[in-house]
Amino acid sequence: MKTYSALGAAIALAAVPFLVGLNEYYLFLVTLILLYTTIVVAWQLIGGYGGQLDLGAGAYHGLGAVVTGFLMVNYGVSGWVGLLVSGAAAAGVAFLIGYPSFRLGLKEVWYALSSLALVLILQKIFLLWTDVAGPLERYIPYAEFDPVFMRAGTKIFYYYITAALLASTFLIVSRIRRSKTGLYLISIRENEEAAEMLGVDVRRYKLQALMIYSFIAAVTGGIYASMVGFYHPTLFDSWISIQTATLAIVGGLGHLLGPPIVSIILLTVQEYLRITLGAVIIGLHQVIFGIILVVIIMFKPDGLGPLIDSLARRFPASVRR
Amino acid sequence: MDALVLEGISKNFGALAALTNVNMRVQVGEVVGLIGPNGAGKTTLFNIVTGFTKPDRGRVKLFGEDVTGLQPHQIAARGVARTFQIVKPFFGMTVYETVLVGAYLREKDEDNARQRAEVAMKLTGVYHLRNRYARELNTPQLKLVELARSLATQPKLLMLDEIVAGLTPAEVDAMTALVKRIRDEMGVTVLLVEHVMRFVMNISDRVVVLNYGEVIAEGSPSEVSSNLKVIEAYLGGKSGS
Repeated sequence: MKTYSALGAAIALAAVPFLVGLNEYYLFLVTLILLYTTIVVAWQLIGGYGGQLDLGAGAYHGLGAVVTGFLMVNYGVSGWVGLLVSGAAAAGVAFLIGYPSFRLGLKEVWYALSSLALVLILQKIFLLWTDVAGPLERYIPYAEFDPVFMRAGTKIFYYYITAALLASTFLIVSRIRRSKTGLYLISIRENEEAAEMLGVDVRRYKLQALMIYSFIAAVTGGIYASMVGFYHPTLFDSWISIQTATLAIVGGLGHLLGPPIVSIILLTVQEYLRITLGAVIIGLHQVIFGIILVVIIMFKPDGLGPLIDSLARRFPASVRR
Repeated sequence: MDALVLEGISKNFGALAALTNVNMRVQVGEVVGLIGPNGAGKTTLFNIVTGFTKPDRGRVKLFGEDVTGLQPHQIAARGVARTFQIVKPFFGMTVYETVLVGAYLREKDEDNARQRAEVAMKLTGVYHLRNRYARELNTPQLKLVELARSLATQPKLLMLDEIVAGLTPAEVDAMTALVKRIRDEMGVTVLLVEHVMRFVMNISDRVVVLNYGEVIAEGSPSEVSSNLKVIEAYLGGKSGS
């Protein structure tokens, strides 16, 4: 049954470009939705399992965009290499931030605020650091179709890269969830002192979770920069941080299926509202989106994860019958 | 051989002296009861041994090794397990998962860890609860789960912080038998903090009495219970009445 649902998901992901009629604009939107969903899935590691309310996604996403873009623009380095380098750079920054934070035992709102500050700090640094970024957009050399350089004129190229990234992120996270590391992370979330007394090196496991998540968030940033063809310090975007945590919480903290499904649906709704209402009254789509979130949390304070899990359990049974 | 040695441990919280020059030994294979009135420093002493609190002065030695200042997970790796005075369950996990966390300390392989967890659950009698979430259990059950996950780490020294507080007399007797089995069959050294005299006096080879952060008496249960200083500490001194 599991293989069938995996196969179904893979076919659905592969079919989307044709469902939107290979329209470049829609391809761009669905790629964005999958990119942001990837961050939400990776965020589960630190937020859903590790229990740290991380708001640093925008920092790692931006770092991925700037590092990958910088290497492509200035050295003609392939985007693929750029993704790996930027992922490593983000994991390095995550280590530098995470090590003292977890050593000091920063948690809850204090951790949330300090991780959010990272977004703003990095944005200012790269605005001032004109050798690398600066206030002007830097354009990545155009190529009609150059898969080695990771640059293409059509968005379908980026769509499939992103779909593959989302699928592998989901597999990595679900594998970690079932492993000793996942069990340890959840025990940390549930009670740090008790976990520590059972031999769990709390700092080490939190740091691991943070580094894997930041690596993946940076990769989404690198793909984004290559897709839009430029990079700029505004890609250090605190909205991405908020959106990631919000979608993961509404999707169900620590749930495997809820966050990606909810994230894809809500981001699609958000884009739809933006397209249809965004020009009618400026900001109306955001108001409606906000109301949707509030209503969900009012009626399902634990998010939609438990609901989706029970639906997923019922579904295979009805198929078998 | 000594499982645990405390040498001149002192700890102040601001102006309050929680522990003053405490010297203590626990030999391998012993069951030692640590008693004393509320606020005597028993839990602080536990926190110092397990690395949650750093002593201001003094050394902690486990099985001959100086472990002062190590973190709790490092203490656990050296063979110490502990239950907490106020239970610290993993509410969002099943009993099985909870105990498995402990088992992973010494069993890297998943199958072995599962086996180890099952042995610990059966010994403590929570195996039938294995698929229940901790949030569905009552306090006596949570205490047993806490004991099970501690045992799953395969400790050499087990520290029990008021494990029978709030239990019925029948449950206390069952716990007495269980702790004796743990000591006799698994060869685990036990240090326990307790207020329930029925339990301490039944199970301890030796009792150490703390009062206002100082060791005021030490000896067999009968010696200690007839010690005047101990009676004073519990019932109040003559000068005070």
